[in-house]
Amino acid sequence: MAKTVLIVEDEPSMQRALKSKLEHGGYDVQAASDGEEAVTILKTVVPDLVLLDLIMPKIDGISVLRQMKDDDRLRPVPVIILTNLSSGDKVAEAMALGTFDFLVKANYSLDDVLKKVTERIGAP
Amino acid sequence: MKTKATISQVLGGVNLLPELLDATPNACLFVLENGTLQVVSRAFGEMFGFDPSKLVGRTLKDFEPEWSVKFSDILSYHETVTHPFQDRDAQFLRDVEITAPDRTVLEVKSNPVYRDGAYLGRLWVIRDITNEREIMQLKIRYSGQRNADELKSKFMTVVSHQLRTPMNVMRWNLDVLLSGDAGEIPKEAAELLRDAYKSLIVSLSIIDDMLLAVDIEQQAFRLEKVSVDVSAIVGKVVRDFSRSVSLRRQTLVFDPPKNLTPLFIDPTRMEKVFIRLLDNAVKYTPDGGRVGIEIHSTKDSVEIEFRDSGIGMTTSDRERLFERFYRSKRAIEMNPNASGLGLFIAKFIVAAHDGSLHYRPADGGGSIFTVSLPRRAST
Repeated sequence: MAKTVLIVEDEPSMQRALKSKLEHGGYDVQAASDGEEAVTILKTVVPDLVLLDLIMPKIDGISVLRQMKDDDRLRPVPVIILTNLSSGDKVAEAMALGTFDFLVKANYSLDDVLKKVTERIGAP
Repeated sequence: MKTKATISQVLGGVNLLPELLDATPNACLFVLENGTLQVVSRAFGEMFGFDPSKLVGRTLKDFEPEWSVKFSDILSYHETVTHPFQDRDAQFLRDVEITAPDRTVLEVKSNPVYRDGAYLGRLWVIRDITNEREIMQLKIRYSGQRNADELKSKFMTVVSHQLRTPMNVMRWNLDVLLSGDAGEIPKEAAELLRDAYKSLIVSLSIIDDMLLAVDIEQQAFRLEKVSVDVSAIVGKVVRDFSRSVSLRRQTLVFDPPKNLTPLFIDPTRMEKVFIRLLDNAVKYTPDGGRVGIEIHSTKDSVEIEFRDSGIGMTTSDRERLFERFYRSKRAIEMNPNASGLGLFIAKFIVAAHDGSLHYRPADGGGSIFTVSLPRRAST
């Protein structure tokens, strides 16, 4: 069974592009449009990796990260933070929660994202 | 119960009023009810260019032609002198600023003087506030300039961030289309999409430059240093440029040195410096030209040299090369759409590593840019 990646991204067009790239790369992809949806999915699914946007409506990325760190099932799941340059403070907060992978969206092509995912969890 | 003593009482009945008035830097003029100039201080004489001793005893009416011409206009004189004198009961306590012929700015206060309820005359106290006014104007100008700079930076940040998100949406969607993940696209359409993609990347890099320039201006610029092989960074940049170099039929030469000591630098920032320098070298070198990168290691530093056989710089360009937004005439002719921030940012990043970025002309035309990084930054 292919490895599962959960994409948490509120911008529908970016979410669709990411999903398409990772699915073509061979991964199973689950997608959430905000933190609340992500938390619901994470109750039943333990993905191999989470691509997590930080600034989102309802529950933001930091809250999702905090809930993952408080959950024994989810604590070991690697998280790659999707950022833009305006979220510097939130990046610092995410680092304090033990996340070390960051990806400034505008600086990366989808191929770069796929490469980074594969580096982190291996081929699908 | 008496609460106040008169000056005369304090001084034991000695009349020192003229001496006291002469000792103040403010010009004082006391005119009796009948218009006679009773007291004229030394500072008054100096301020308006009169001999005070020759004024005492004359009348205000008689003095008016000589004094009024010292004012910038006759109306100012009447507002400051004639009207308050005629309206003897009015409290003339407001400040009046006038401009004398030599552009001196004066603050004038005038009060009626009474003794035991009887009107004696009117006193003018005049102070030179030229310097204070200039300082105040400078402060206003400086604060206006600072506000304008802050506003400009804020505007650039907001615009850049707002533009980034939709542009990134475009980028990733073009990524999907160009990779064929969304289905086959005709060859000609793919070419058009690739051109759009390239323009988008250029726009994103201009926005990055703007944001970085704002960070530099606001002193929000930070380095994240790690120990790294600088030739590996150069190698990566060279590989990234191989396609554009071959399209221009240019020769790009880079022989990475062996056993280079790692340097403690910010690899992302330094990669941006190398990208800018190589991008300039490729961009401003004609098709078929030559671009080379050499790394030299000295006792104290590691020097990365970018050479090209391009358009070079005029003497006046060299002086302004690293200024923000500066672009040489020839550079504008060859490539009109650039921000003029690249070299400014590159120099700043190198300087933030305690290094230097220098330009010198290459023999036979072209340019040489040298990044010099201190070896003490190595681990």
